[in-house]
Amino acid sequence: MTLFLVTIEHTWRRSLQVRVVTLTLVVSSLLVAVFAYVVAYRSSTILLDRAKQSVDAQLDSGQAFASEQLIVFGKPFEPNVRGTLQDIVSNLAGGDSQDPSSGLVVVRADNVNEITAVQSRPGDISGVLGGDITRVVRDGGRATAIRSGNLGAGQVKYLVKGTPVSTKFGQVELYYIEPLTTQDSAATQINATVLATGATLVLLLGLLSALVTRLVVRPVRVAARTAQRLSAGLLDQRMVVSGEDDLALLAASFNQMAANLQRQIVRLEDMSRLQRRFTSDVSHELRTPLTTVRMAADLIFAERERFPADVSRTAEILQTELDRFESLLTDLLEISRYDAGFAMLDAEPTDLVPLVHRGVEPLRALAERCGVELRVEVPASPVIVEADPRRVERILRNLVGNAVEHAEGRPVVVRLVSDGVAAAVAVRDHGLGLKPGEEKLVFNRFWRADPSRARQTGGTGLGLSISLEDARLHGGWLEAWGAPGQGAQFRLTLPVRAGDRLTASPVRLVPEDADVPAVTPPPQPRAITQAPAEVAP
Amino acid sequence: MSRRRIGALVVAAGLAAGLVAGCGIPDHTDVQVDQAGPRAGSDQQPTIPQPAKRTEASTPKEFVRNFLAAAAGEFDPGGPTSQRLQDYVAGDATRNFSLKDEVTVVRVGEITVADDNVHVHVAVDQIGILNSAGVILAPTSTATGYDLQIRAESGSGGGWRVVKAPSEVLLDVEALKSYYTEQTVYFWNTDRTALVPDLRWLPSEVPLSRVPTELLAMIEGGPSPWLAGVAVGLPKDSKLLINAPIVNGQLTMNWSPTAVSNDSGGDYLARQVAWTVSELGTQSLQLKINGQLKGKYDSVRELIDRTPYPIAPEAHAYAVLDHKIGALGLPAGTPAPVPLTDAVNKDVQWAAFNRTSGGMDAAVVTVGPELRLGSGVGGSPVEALTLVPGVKPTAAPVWLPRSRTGLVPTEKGLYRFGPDHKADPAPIKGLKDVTAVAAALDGQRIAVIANGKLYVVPVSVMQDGELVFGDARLLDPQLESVTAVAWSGETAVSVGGKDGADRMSIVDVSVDGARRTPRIYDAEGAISMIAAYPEIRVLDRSTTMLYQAQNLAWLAAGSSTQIERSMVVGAPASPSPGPGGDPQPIAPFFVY
Repeated sequence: MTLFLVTIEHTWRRSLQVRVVTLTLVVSSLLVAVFAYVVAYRSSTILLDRAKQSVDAQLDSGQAFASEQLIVFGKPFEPNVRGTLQDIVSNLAGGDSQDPSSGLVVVRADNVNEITAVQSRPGDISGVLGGDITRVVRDGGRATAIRSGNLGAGQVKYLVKGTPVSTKFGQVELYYIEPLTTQDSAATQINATVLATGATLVLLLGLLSALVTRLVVRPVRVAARTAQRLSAGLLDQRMVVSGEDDLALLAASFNQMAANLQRQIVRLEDMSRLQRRFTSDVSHELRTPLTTVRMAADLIFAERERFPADVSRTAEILQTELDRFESLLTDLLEISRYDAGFAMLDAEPTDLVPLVHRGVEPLRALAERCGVELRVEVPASPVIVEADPRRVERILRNLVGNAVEHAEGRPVVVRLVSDGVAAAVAVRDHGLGLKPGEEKLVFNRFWRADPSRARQTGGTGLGLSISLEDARLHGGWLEAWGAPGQGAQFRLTLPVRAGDRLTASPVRLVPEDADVPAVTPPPQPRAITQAPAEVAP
Repeated sequence: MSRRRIGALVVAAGLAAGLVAGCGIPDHTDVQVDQAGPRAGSDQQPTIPQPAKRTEASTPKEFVRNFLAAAAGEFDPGGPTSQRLQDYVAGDATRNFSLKDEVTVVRVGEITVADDNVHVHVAVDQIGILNSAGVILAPTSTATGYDLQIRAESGSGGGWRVVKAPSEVLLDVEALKSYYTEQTVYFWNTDRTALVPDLRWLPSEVPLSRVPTELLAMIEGGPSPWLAGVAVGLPKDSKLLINAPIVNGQLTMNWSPTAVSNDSGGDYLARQVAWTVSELGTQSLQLKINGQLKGKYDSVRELIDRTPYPIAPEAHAYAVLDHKIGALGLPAGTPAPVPLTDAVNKDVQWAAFNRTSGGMDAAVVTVGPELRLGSGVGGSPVEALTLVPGVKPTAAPVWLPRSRTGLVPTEKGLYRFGPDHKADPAPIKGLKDVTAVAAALDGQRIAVIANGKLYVVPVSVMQDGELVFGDARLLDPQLESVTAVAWSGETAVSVGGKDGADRMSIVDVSVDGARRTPRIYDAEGAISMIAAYPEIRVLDRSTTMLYQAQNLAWLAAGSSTQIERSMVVGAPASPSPGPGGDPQPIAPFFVY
């Protein structure tokens, strides 16, 4: 039952057609029911009124006739009083008075002892002509009622009317018992007709609304399906345009829109591909002259002591800038690989503990140079994660390098935590921190917090972008938190098993020592990781 | 959302389904009182005297007399009359004693109660048998007395009861007069040229409102048996379907279709009914056939006036003075001219005139006696009289109204004469020595005195003037000798003779003999002829009667007044005064 209701509710919510048809059925049923009720009620009232008027007229003439006939008698015991009563009822009942389906005329004289009731045809009529009616008439009133009974023609409804008739010897009562068979069957037929018509009308309306809705809904559904296919990338999907109506207009406009979109997307794709190709080509093309320049520079650098001091100094600067240029080129190549979609995850079970150490160790020299204490907190047991160790190490190096660079001489803490489902590495510094909003900008290519700031580590400006792509390749998260004066924390969260979907991180993004009561962690970390990677022009 | 809609759907379906039950003709409703009906009226009839009940007598004789009146009333098995009568009898008498559809009407003479107060002898004269149609038929029994046995009752109110009674129910004719009224019902004669009055007796207890219905029922039942040959009833199987009430002066009657099957428009029926019911305050008539209005007659009077009836509004009386016919200034109206020219107005002994469509027929018996006949054209008097040879009238001739046939008693019996100026014997079966004849105004009945007895005889005049007589019916005027007769009314004859007290009287006798009313009993001699202008109540005409006794003419109006010579218009002075003084008018007659 519940399943049925749920199915109905589901259908109700899903199908416009079902809703329209149902509403049409309900509303038209109500309207038709009211209309049918009015028609049936009015018709039966009219039929009954007609019958009453007819019997009334009969009763009037019958009363006059009976009164005229009985006025000749002065006493109820005179001979032929009963014969006259018989004559009266047979006269008033008409020719076919013995027909069991015909009505009856009855004369009674409840107040006159000598006279017994006379009726136009024999039979027990006490069920139809009851005491409630005869009492009223006996007391001088004119009574009308409808009664049902079997007077020889089965159970039939009768219109009973009675009136007193005055005579010289007292009051007699005249009753007409008229069958309402004709009126009843007419009323029943009208009811049946009205009901059948109403039901047919409702069904037709339902059918009609279903047809009309279908006419409208089908193109809409087609449009929806086409739009779905379009959004799935099948840009050459179009709707069939037939006719010249509104729906054809919709289809044509839709097709127009799809065509425009397709043209734009293709154009943008072409441009994007062109740009990536350009970047990749430039990087490649630069690498060959760079190698030559490098060899020459290395030669000059090796011989720098033979040159004057200023030339020697220039050779050192050349060497350093060449290093930077080379790593920039490497990063560009890397990121263009991502852009081209060639990046492949080479996942294998990896213990993150040595990996963290490996990532941190190369930077200890830099840390010492900057006077920054570098602390690593890892669990005692191995933290095995299905991951690409080269990429994870590159992320860690990047994060720790950044932290040291922005630590302002304060300690940097690298912490590894795992809860069995996910493993997280948090890198916390206590430097300048990030202004509000910058935690998203930091992952943009070539973004710097302070453009005027001198580079110490010679970062390329692509590190965090590459790290973000690496994390995303793992199905993991890379998020940033920072507050001015309180430093920043970057957190890398990776699923323990490759391909698992992350739901939570073992480490809070906002560190415990952060003094930001008002700041709450972003509810949807995915919003950051899924932020579209801008393709640098 | 969905559930609400489903709920609405269910409500709509329920509403629609409720139609079948909610609409249509209901099975049962409360009693609806439309208006107060008319209140019951009450019978305003004055109290009608009823025959005495069993316990009202104080002597056995009175009890027997009451018993002989107890049957007066309507014939209604189980009704009040039957109950009253049954209360009078006990023991063996109840076994074959019940009021069926006839009673024997007798004139009760001496009632002799034996000393044992048980055996009773009742001396009677048979009058006839009263049937349920109100007709008194000629008596079938010749019994002159009945023996009864009565016994004194100790319980149930005391009094007496009859324990042995004759099988027939007896009714004293005095009770008939007390508890019945005479009604005249009219029937068309066979060729529908005149209405024949038929005497009926209707119990007084019938309320006035029901009298029309009863009279119409009598019309439905047809004429009395003795008139069967001259009057016709409605076609066979004609039926008065329902009561015929008079509402606001209008009588509505409803007949079966056969009632007018040979009467297009129902005009004959309407006229017959108009005559019959005119005295009941009926101003208009409505004739329905099977409930459908067939004819509406706004004026009953017009219907009555439209019926041929040979009587003028005024009585034109004549008498014979000095053997000449002279008009009488008495008893009423202006004297009419003598319908004979002076040339033939001579030697007249008796005369009779008959208005015809073309003029006047005269039958004059001249001294001889000889019968002479003549005809006048238009309003002119008869100029010539033709002798009818071989006929010696012994009494005044009469014309049968509406025909050109007359009757005259002769030495050789009753003769008929006609416009061919011939006379033939017209014997009436079973009657001899006819000494007087009188014709009723309808021309279908005659009264004759034959062999000293009074008879009424229905008569039909054939196309060729032949007469066909019906059975003579003997009437008993209770006179020792019967000498003259005339029709004093539609259903009564006046007859002159000597009554029991040796008085010369004229008594009126109804045509069934049940009623006998003395008119005068101071005649100064044997009444030799009577002339009457008959009473017709429908036309509001009352009787004027002249008679001849001791060769003098008299006016009979309560007492006798002599018609003087001076009352004859233009009476000349006496030509030859005889020893007894001037001759006085004799042989009076009326021209209608």
